[in-house]
Amino acid sequence: MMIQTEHLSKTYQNGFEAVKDLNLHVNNGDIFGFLGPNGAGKTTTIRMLDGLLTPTTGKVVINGMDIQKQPIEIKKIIGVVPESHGYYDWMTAAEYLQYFSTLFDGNKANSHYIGELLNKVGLQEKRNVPVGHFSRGMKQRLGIAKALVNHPKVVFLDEPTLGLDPRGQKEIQQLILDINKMNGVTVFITSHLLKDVEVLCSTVCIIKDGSIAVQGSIQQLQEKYMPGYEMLLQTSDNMAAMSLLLDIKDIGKVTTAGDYITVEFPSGLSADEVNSLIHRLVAAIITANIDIKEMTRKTLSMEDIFFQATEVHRNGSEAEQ
Amino acid sequence: MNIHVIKKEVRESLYANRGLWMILASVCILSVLCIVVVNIKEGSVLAQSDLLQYFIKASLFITLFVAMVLGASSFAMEREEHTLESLLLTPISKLNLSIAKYIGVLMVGFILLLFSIPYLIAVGAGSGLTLSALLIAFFIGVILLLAFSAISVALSVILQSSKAAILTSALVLLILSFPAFVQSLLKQSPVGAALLKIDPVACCFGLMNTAFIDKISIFAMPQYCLPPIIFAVIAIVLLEWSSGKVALKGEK
Repeated sequence: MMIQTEHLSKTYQNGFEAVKDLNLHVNNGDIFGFLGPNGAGKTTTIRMLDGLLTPTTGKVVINGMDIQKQPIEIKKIIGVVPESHGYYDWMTAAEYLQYFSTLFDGNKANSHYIGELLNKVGLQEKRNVPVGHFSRGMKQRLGIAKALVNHPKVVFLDEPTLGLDPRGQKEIQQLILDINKMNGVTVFITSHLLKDVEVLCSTVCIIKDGSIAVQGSIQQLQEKYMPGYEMLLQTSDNMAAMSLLLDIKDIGKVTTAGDYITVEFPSGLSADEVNSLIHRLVAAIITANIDIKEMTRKTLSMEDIFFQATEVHRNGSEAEQ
Repeated sequence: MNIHVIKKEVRESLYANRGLWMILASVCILSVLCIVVVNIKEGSVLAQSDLLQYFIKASLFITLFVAMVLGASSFAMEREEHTLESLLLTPISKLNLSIAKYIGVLMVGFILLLFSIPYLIAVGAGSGLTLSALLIAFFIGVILLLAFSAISVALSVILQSSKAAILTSALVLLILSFPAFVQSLLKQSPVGAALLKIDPVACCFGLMNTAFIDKISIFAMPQYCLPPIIFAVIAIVLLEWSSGKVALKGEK
């Protein structure tokens, strides 16, 4: 386990409870997505994880070390790209990385490694250009390079693609995947862009009002919010196909919407049972000389999961109140 | 103490920030003052030692003002420009960070003190007081610089905005310097006289005056030396205390 929190809570001096009883578990080498609406407590959580904020209660353990007891040791093995990240605009890209490298190392910066990092983030040609001349996307890439100067085991990225154009978003996504795959770094990422999370993350946690709404792998979340197997079907004669499907025993719920028939198989079926039902369904339609134009499995997007999780959680909280 | 942060602070002050403009402005003011004082000297009824003292006071005030503005912006600007978070995420302790920033401000102050040397030589030429003027200016300059820079860096930590920190620092400098500029008036009342005995700036100026007129060694005047030294120690203790309060905006 690379990151673990136990009953982590943070209440600010004005009484605002930003994070409530958070229990997170992030495995070594994972890309962990930490999602939530605005003001849900994402940045507060990241700041408690990287030691910038002291939790009101609870514990943070990173790579087996307690952040309260060994903050300096933990800072040596983490890299952070904060949400609103400032740069020394008068420094060149190389100087900026060298400066932070020396702050971690204490010795002269390893210029070979700095060159490697600049190369990795695509800024090698701009190494002697002052950071003030950089675009937002270039600054963000430089920020990621800065987070890697100390060869971290964990990298925290707070909204890494915020404000970037689609090309910039894609570049950052690829960079994050590279860092994770090539360097084996555990990545903890918060993002508003659910597409980011879908593309990058192996495990996801959605928080709402400071508490966990749901946590697990994307597949687990899909299964949680869509427990049964759903199929979309388009045929040459939907009406006839529908009446055939309704006659099939144990097929579940069959409905139409627009040009599609939706078949919701009963929950709790094994993969073999689902396959057998699909065979029976296809055979019934083909036997009746109806053409199948399209047949797809309906899956939940990260957006669907996010809305369901935050909505369910909100309703739950309101009901409690 | 981290040498890399000190180097960065000095570089930022010298050619990346308002520090450069402030140093240039200070040099211009010193040049104008020097020309005026040298011209006055030729037909002045004032003693040369008085003119020299006025010039030292002016150059010290300028140096302290620049150092305090830089010190007051040190943490506050990092906070406002969102660069403080990255610094706090490095393994450097907050105390080390404060000391490094403090030394960075001191270095710029020392550079300004060095800049005033040729002007002092020009103003003191022919008076026979040039060497002692240089020594005294350096001695009291260092003590006051140590004290006021520490206060401004501490204010930069405690106050959230750079504007508030700069204004408060300037106010501290003015309030503590004020008795020194109205010494003759304050001496007339017992409270004023007592105030002059404890005010660090007034003591420094008293030290300079006595050394010039009575030709007494500065180390033979503990009544003038102790208050500014105690003030500098208190200021450094304040800086040490404030370093524990270094935090991001709104998160203290």
